Formats: sequence, structure tokens, C-alpha cells
Amino acid sequence: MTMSGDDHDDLHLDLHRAVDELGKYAIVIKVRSESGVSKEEILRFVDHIMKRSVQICMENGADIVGHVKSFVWSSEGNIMGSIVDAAQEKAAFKDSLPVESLREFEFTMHVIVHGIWDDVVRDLTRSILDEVFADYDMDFEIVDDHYEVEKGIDHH
Amino acid sequence: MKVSQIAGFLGSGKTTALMKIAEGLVNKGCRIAIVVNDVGEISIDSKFVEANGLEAREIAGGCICCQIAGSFAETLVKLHEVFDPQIVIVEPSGVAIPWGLKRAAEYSEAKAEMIIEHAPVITLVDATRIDMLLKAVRRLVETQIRESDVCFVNKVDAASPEAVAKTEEFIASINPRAEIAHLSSVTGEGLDLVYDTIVDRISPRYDDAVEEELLRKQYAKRE
Repeated sequence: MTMSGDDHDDLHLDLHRAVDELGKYAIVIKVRSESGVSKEEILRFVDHIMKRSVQICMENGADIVGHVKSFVWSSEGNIMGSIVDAAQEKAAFKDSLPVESLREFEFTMHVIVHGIWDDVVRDLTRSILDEVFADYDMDFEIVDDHYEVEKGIDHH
Repeated sequence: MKVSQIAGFLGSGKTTALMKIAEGLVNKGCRIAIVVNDVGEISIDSKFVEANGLEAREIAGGCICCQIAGSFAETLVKLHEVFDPQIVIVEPSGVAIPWGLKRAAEYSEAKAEMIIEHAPVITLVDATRIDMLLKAVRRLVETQIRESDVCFVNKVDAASPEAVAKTEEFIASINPRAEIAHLSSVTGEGLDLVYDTIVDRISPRYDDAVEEELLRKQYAKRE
């Protein structure tokens, strides 16, 4: 007995469907502060927004965190943040920002959770932006929105 | 040019391990490039890899073993022409089938004068989250384990002995032919074995008949 091309395609589709059970959303935000924001405050902000995005997804149907990763980028350096478990008390950071403050940086956040769809992750993530930024002396502008719907299945 | 696949579910520690592995291989004098194919449209990992001075390519928009196999082959050709790496480490999305990825890599031989070799397929399994993973995404984790040559039980520094043992038993039950080892990017345990696996060992090239037989055996339960 051999596996036909159709069987192989079915298997592959199954796998893509499994991935599409992962809700995915990525957003790129330009952040500015007239007076400058300290690195300590940037780290607090990143931890805050990442944990809040995990919290709101888990409260609204997600059952497992795939990962939430973030990247602070400026010409001065970068900070990568990561949360892989809803129970994680603090985001893990890889800090390569050798300055004490920034007036402007780009913030990218990629949220992948299991159990809710892409559009739900998008809506939940966007819903926390005003609330989180209200705690900081920083303005923000969404510059890119990587939203996709069931890309894997669409292909087939 | 040798292609090394490092698979694992999201959050399994691939990126942290990959950076350690790349750093170690560079220190041993290897010319390394990294190809990242994340789930979704954007990859934080490739930004991070590039920011750390490594040669990185991001392939977005689908799974590199099928949907964008051509893009992957083109990427390998461009890396060969521009950077000529000895080893390309590929961090595939959670659904890339290793045999399909081998085939996609070998497409590049028709586009440039180079021979593709494959390192054994490595899969990282997060021992700290094994119960949660088996509950929520068992199918994906099983697939990655089935297709691997060497499975590393990762984050052994943070996992309980019971969780490590459970992870080992699970791997052995899914893929009895896979080698099982421990890995910790924190303590460095297992990194030398990863280096040796990538540098010194070879995995077979793509073969239609072999893939068909593997799929038949491994997925027969579906029928």
C-alpha cells in the first residue's frame, strides 16, 4: 500500500489547519516622547503591553500561549521581549540597547495564541493600546498591521 | 552547502538555542546563515538575528516546505551567491514537513552550482510545558517529533525531573528511532552535541519513495 498524492495533500492540509487554530496578529507601532523616555520606563512599558495582551487573550478564549514576542528598535540598539507562558510573571528580555533614554523607537509585537481566531487576537490586541499607553508619557502611531486570515488554508 | 533544520513548537526555546548554536559554530570558524520561516506574516526572530550581526533571511507568507518552496530555494541560491555559507540553519514554521523541506532545499541545485547536504533534523521539545502542549497542540508536537532524527528535551535546567522523564517517554513513544538528548541554553548542556550533529553528521537526501514509505508508516493511524 502506498500513500497517494491526495493523501499527502490531505495530511498537509490537516497540518495547516492545526496551525490555523493558532490565532496570530502582529503590529508595528512608532512610539515618540518629546521629553524622552528612560530605558527603565521602556522595559516597564514592553512588559506591561505584552503581559496585558496575553491576559486579555486568555480571558477571551485562548487556552495556551504560542508566543508573544516583541522588538524595540532604534538606531541606538534594540530590545527583544518574549513571553511563552501565561503564568510567566515577567517578560524575558534580551537587552541590546546601550543608551539610557530614547525619544523615538519602533515597537513590533507578534502575538500567537491557541484557541481563538486571528481576527479576535487582532481586536483584543488593538483594544488594549489606548489603555496601556495612558500609563506612559508617550505618543503612538500604528504604522503597520500584519493581519491575515487562514493563510495556510487559503493557499490550498 | 549544508542545510540544518531546527524545529519545535512556538515557545520551545528555538530562538534562544539557535543564537547559542550559531554563536558556537561561528566561534568554531563556520560561516553561518539563518533562515527563519515563522507562523504568520512577520518574524521577530529574524530582526533579532540580524540585530546580533548574523546573516539572516526571513521567508514570510506560508510554509517553506510547500507554499513557498520556490522562495526558499531562491533564498538559498542568493545566500550562496552573496555570502556562501557553509551551513544554513533553518528555523521552519511549526508545520513544515522535514522531508518536504529537504526537497525544497534541493530545488536550489538547479538554479546554482552547488550541492545541498542535510544535517540530521533536530526538534526541540519544551519539557517545562509538556502537559500543556500535549493537551492543546498534541498533533503539531507529534508531527515534529515523528519527522526528527535527534530530539532534544529542552529547558532541562528549569523542568522537574518528572517532566523531563515524561517528555523523554513521549518522544520515544512517537518516534522510537529518534535519538533523545538534553539541552539547556542556560547551562550549555547539550550544545556540544548539537554542534557535532550539525557539523559532522549527514541526513539522507530527499527521496520520493522514502518519503512515501515514511508517511505511510507514520500516518497510517489516520486512515
